[in-house]
Formats: sequence, structure tokens, C-alpha cells
Amino acid sequence: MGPGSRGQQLKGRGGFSLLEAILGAFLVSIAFGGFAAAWILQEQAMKKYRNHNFVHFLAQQEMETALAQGFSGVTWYAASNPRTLEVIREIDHQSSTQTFDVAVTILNETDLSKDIKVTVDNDQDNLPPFSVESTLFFTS
Amino acid sequence: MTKFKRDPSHRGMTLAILLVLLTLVAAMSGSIALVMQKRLASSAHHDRALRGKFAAEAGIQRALVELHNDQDFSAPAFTGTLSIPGVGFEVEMLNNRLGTSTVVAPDGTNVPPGRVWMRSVGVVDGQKISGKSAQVTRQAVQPIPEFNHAVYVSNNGLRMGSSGGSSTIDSYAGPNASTYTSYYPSGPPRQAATLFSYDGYVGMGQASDLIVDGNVYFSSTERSSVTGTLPAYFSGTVEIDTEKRPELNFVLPISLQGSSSAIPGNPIPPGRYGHAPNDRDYVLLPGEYYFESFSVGIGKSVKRTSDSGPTTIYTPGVFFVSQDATVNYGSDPADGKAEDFRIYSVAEHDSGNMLLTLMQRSKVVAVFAGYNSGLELIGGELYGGAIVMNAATIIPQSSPDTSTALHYDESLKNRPLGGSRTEWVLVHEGNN
Repeated sequence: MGPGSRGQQLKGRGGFSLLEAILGAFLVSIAFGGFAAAWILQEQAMKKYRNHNFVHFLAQQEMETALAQGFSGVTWYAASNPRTLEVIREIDHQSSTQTFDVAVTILNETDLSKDIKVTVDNDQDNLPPFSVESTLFFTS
Repeated sequence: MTKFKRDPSHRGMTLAILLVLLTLVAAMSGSIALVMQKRLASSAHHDRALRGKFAAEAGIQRALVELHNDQDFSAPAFTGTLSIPGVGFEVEMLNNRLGTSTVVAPDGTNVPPGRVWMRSVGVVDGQKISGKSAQVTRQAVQPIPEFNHAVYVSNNGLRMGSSGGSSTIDSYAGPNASTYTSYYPSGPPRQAATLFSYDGYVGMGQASDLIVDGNVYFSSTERSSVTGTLPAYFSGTVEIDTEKRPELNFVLPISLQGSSSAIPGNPIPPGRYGHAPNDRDYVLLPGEYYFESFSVGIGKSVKRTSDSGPTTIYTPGVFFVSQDATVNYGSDPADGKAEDFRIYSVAEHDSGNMLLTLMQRSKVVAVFAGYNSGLELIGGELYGGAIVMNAATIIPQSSPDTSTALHYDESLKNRPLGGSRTEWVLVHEGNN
């Protein structure tokens, strides 16, 4: 094998130039980097979505419980608040304990009606507390 | 050994493959981002829907408040707000309380007479929340309330007289097949009847088996005998509990609104009539009657023909039972159920003024209730009735007419007897 023959062989095979290789690697890394970022964001969004939905669920449950106490009973019920609920949730097949601050407050109380506000705050995320409000009419 | 050789005709394929790969990755990233965005949007929508749902419920409850303040309240649309910024409701109402026929609500549901249709929609950030979740449709009705007092005398209270004999209030086990006379309970006091007397006065008399509630003055000079939750021979003023007095502004049923007709022969069908004279016996059917006033003559009777339903008489005037007359006091015990014979004072012109008078030896088995109404027992006996009136006077007569008494049927204490029509309750869920 004479000198230069190997180089000529390689040259004959073609291949990528250094610039092509760098450019390709750059594009692929951008693409996969974007994908990874999207995936991470999606995971975070999923967590936020789950937590938010759970807060909704708690708020709805708390409001319905409060309304079910009746006109006089709801005052007593509100007096037992705010309280902290410790909830064990299974997320992705793993148990985790989370705490939620729940407050039931009575606003604009008259002889005939009471406005009831339920606020649920998830201690684990930075979302603002979620509130729902309704009214209860006097029934004897 | 196979060798991969570069095919000159495939020059540029690497770039194409790379672009396809990048496109796929970009598409995957995009779809993930899209799903993420939709989830966040869904969560935000759920926020609004939940707030809207409870705001819509609040609208229905606020509508009930309006109806409480004005029974005829109706509004094509009224709005309200809650303390959460931007959250409120919009309510439509169709009030058919005084209607004579069924009307159709905007959502196509039938609203019978006596009912109010309401539709409330939650509003968040100035926008009505679409969808059923934040839209509540209900109907409300004024129910016949239950009184938990078998005896309820308000305002002018109770006067138990002392001339010539004793006046008695007691409970008894209720009408039975044997007789109405064995009304005294055996064993310990059952406390079946409750006397609510607002600033009332009890003179000489015997009131047994009572739970006294309210301001009741028992004369210390005339020594009333009161058993039950009070010690015997109690004198003075007692206030055990204060509770809301029922309002007795009865509403005349729609079927009785209209002109009077002449009273036909027995049995008299339900309807609206003028004064019932005292020269005859009366036989009534189950159903609702209106009489301007009613007089039962000496020795005459009012009976029911059937036990298939209650007989109710509405009257704004006097219901007078003469000596030795009987009302619903018959040979057939099944027809003697006090709760099935009701005499209500009805306020046609702002106030009712029924006065029920029972003269010597008369016997009546009925429920009496009414706004601004009163009872006079002048030697007669009233059986089984839940008495819901402003005032009651029991005046025993000289011997042998000493049996003046109110005998309460303990079984009636929790029966619905009619009364206040100012409360509203939700009785029917609409489309959701």
C-alpha cells in the first residue's frame, strides 16, 4: 500500500465535513434540548394541574359540607376553621403527604342570609389561594 | 462482507433525514406544549366554572331572600355580586304564586300555580359562565309548615276563667274507637301539648301535661295548677324559651277564589259559600270550603261523610257552635280525626278575624288556626285540636256545665297543620 492510498480511499468514501458535523450536532442538540425542556415543562404543568384540580376538589367539598350544615349550623362549622388538612396522595405510584389550609368564613350575615366563602391554600406550590363563595338563605 | 457504499445518487439524503428527524422532534415538542397549554387552560376554565357554579347557587339563595321580603317578587333579570372580585350572578325569575294556570318558563319547563321559577347563571370577570355547570334552575314553593306546638296561643295569650267551675287544658291519647271521654293520660305526664303564650295570663284553671314556652303570667292570687315542666301551683312569670312565632297569614286556595254560590243540600260539595245559617245539619266532604261565617245551631251537627281526605274550612268570620251542638264529633271514630277537620282563619282583607265560640255542652273535634283569631270556650269542649290562635279564653259555666276544656291530641303535635306561607323552599330541580 503506497503512501497516500489510504487517504485517497477515505476521500473516495465521502462523509461529513467538520462544519457539517458541528452544524448537525448543533441542530440535533437544539431539537432534543427543546424536547427535553418541553418535557420538563409538561411535567411541571402536570403537577400544577393535579394540584390545582385537587384544590378545586377540596374547595368544592368544603363548600358543599358547609352548605349542608344549614343556616345556623354553618356558623358553628365556620368557627372550627381555619384548619390544616393533611392529605396523603398517590402520585405516579408514590405516596406523598401534602398539607392544605382550609378556611370557611361567613360574610355579610343578616337574619335572612349568610355569604359563605371557602378558601383553600396549597402549601406546596406558589399558586395564590383559591376561593369560592356562595350564599345560604335562612330556613327555620 | 457487505460494504455500505456511498451511492452518488443519494447525495444530500443525510440532510433530508436530519430535517425529518428534527421535524419529528419539533412536532413532539409542539404537541407536548399544546397538551400542556390545554391542561392549563382547562384548569383555568375549571376555576371559573367552580366559582360560577357556587355564584349561581348564591343567586338562587338571594332570590329566596327577595321572595321572603316580597312574596310576589319577580324579575326578568337581577344581578348581584360576591366578595370575590369579579364574581357574581344573574338571576331570571318567573313568579306564578298567584297564577291560576301553569305557565311555561323560558327554558321550557312548566311552572304550576303557586311556584316560582328561577334560573341563575354565575358571572366571572364580567362574563356569564357558559355550560350547565354554572347555571342553576330551580323552582320554589311556599310549604305548609309544621308547628311543633299542639297548642299555640299568642299575643293576647290565654285566659282561663274561674267563675262557677274549672277550666282545663290537657292532653289525651287521641280519638279512639271507644270514646272521646277517656282523654286523661295515665302514668307520668306526657308533656304532649305545648302552650306558647306570649305575655299570656293564666288565672284559675288546670293546665296539665304542658311545656310552657314564652312569657306566661300565672296569677298568684287565683292559683293556677300547672303540671309538666313547671311545678304545681306555680305563680309568677316564667320565660323558659323564646322562639319564633309562626305567622298565620293563610292564603286562600286558588280554587276558592271567586264568587260565592248558594249552599246546596247535603252533602255539600267543596266550594265557596256565604254565611252558613244555624237552622240545619251540615254534611261536608273531603276538600276545601270557604264560608263567610258559620253557625251551628242548638243541637245541630257538622259531620264528614268520608275519611278519604281532610276537610278544610276557610273563613274570615265567626265560627259559632251553639249549645249541645257537635262538629266532627260523630258515631264513627274514623271520621273523628281532629287533624282531618281543619278550620282556618283566612285573611282576605289584610287581616283575619275569625272568632271560634263553643257554647255549653258543645263538642268539637278539629284543628283551629289563624291570624288574628281567637277562641272562646264557654262551657264547651274542644277535642284533639291543635290550637294556633292569638287568644283563647276558657270560661267555665255554672254547674252542671263545668266541663269546659281543651283536650289536645298528643299525636298531633308534629303534624303539619298549615300556617305561615312566607317561607320558600326549593322543591324541584330544573334542567340540572
